[in-house]
Amino acid sequence: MDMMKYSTILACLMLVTTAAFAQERDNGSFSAGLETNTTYYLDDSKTGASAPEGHMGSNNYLKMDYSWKGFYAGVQLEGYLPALSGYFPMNIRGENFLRYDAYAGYSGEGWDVRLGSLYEQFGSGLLFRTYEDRTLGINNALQGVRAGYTFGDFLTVKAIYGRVRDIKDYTNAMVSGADLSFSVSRAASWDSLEWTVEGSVLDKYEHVETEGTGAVPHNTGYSARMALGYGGFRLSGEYMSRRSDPGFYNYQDSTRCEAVQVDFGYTGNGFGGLLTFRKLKNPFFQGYRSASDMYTYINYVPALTQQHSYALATLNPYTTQFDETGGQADLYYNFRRGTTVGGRKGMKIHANFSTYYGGILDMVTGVRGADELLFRDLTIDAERWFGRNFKMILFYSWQTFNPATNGHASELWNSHTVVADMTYKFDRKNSLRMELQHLYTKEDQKNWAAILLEYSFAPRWSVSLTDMWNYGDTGIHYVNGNVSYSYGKIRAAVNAGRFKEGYLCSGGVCRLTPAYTGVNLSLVVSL
Amino acid sequence: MKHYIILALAILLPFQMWGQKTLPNVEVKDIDGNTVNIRSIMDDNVPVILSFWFTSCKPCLQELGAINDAYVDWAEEADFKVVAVATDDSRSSAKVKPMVTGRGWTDITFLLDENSDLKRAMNVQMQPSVFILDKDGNVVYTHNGYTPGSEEELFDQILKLQ
Repeated sequence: MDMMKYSTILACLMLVTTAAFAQERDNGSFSAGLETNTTYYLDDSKTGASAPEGHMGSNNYLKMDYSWKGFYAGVQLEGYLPALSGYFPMNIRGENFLRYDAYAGYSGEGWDVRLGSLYEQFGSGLLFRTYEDRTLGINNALQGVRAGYTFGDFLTVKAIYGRVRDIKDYTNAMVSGADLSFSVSRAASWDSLEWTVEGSVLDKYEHVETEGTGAVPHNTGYSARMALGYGGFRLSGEYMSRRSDPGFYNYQDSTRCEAVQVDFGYTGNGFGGLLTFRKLKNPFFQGYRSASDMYTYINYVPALTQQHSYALATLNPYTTQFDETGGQADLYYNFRRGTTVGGRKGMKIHANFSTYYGGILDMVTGVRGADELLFRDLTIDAERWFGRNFKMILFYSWQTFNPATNGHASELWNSHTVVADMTYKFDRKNSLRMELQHLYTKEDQKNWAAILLEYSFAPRWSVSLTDMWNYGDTGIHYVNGNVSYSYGKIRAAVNAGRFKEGYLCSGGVCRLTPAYTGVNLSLVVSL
Repeated sequence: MKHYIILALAILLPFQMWGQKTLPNVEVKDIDGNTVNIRSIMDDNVPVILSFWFTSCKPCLQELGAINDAYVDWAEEADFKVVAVATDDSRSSAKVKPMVTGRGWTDITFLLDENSDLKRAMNVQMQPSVFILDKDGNVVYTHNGYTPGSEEELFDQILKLQ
């Protein structure tokens, strides 16, 4: 039994570490997390959802961390028995497998040294980022070494070296990099003006198998960043430039990779505003050239748009394109409590506008098309309490989606989504929440309506029922129910019903979660 | 499946008894982007409500709103502070400051954990997750998820620490 073997090794490892310090009075700190996300799938002729062989999908994670003084060690064990439907490439779907990652390090007196699996981000991640996102199935940690040192409180230097993690093992590519961040204002002890300067270099080495493709073994790049802050104002910018890495994932594009991003924000007197501009050219960076999936990117180029949480506003999310210019604006304002507009607890309003233009790459020929609108979204929402017990959120989103960004040739899709989200508190513990959603569009699957009812008995229980209805085209009702229980360190939730297919996106890449009908159990224990 | 979970718990229990969970030695950023150590939140020597949230997490916004609304009353009865760590990555971390200002959340200290270093070190697996720390930085209470009214339990825990 593989699991037994791993667990035993693990337990021994941890015991040895802890035993070494047993004489000390300070026993150190221990923390752990256990998570299971398990689904039993059923066939559903209405949606065409078919259960995988064995009807089961189960993603499991166990992570343990121990630290003593400045030293720490930890391990993460993952078990896919097999992976939930929609996770991972075709060739390993349906396979039961386990894997583990371990790490140890020291931090203190300005030092930061770590061996084993590493998560690191340079700047905003345009040049380099490794991270874990279990919802997406992404864990691209480097396996290697990191060393960093901070002088005073104003200068930090660090260097990394390691190989890129793949789903089951590691790739053959080696990544090395260094990062420097310097706070001019802290070094000069300025009070009112903040000024930081940062820079990074990164190299990926990967052997070139076939000559003549334009691929080179070393792909080197850099990023330069600066931020200025004064009063409520903040201006920051980043420029990234890197030698291209022509491969399967970028249609063999050999033009130089470039990205520039500028953010300008102001906050004060209950008001917050942010303007973002970004321009990208061939920005993505894969852990290895022949990669075709989303699991091994080593940089992070997210779509800079409003991230919606109401289901109908997320039907067609925008994904970052190879060639894109655009930006977004966010405005937040709070009408103070006690005023006529603000009412008892203040009224909060928010607006976001985002728009992107660019030429879409032909997926077969790799040729860039003419400039066109890629995506546009105008979203407005307001939240206010009426009296002591009733809260209402009103939401509107007007989205223009270009289906060609998703590989569909067709006209632009325009949609209007409205939501009323109401909560009524009966007393300190009992509350009822209702969401009414409607999406109006003449394109794709046409009109949708959705309703959610959620009854909560604080602090432990919550029960909800959802129906998403595509009444404009298919007539299918996506009905599902949820019960969740939370007590201290444990949270358990059961979801059952019919779920629509959808896109989960991160860093410019999206994973299509297939439609499914079934029962899901999610259990989280955090110690 | 079931066996794996039981096995995992059996391994975990002895460790849990051995070492208590405390605030790790991890760098985060303050809301203006300056690097600070998370342990600096204990500098005032008072208990802390430590919440993990992100800007597009609806229950997180409900919870922080409820805590901020109740804070005025709570602060009259107890000495403590509220720290909210935003795990927004670079997609939305620049929105944290304008958002919290534009929601009028003035009674909470906000920090940024852009690449989830603190979130991983404290084994936060879902959000919102709230920890209550005694004045020495030991985790004495944990709660996952938010239901309207569950903030009252946080205050009950804070009262126990006075």
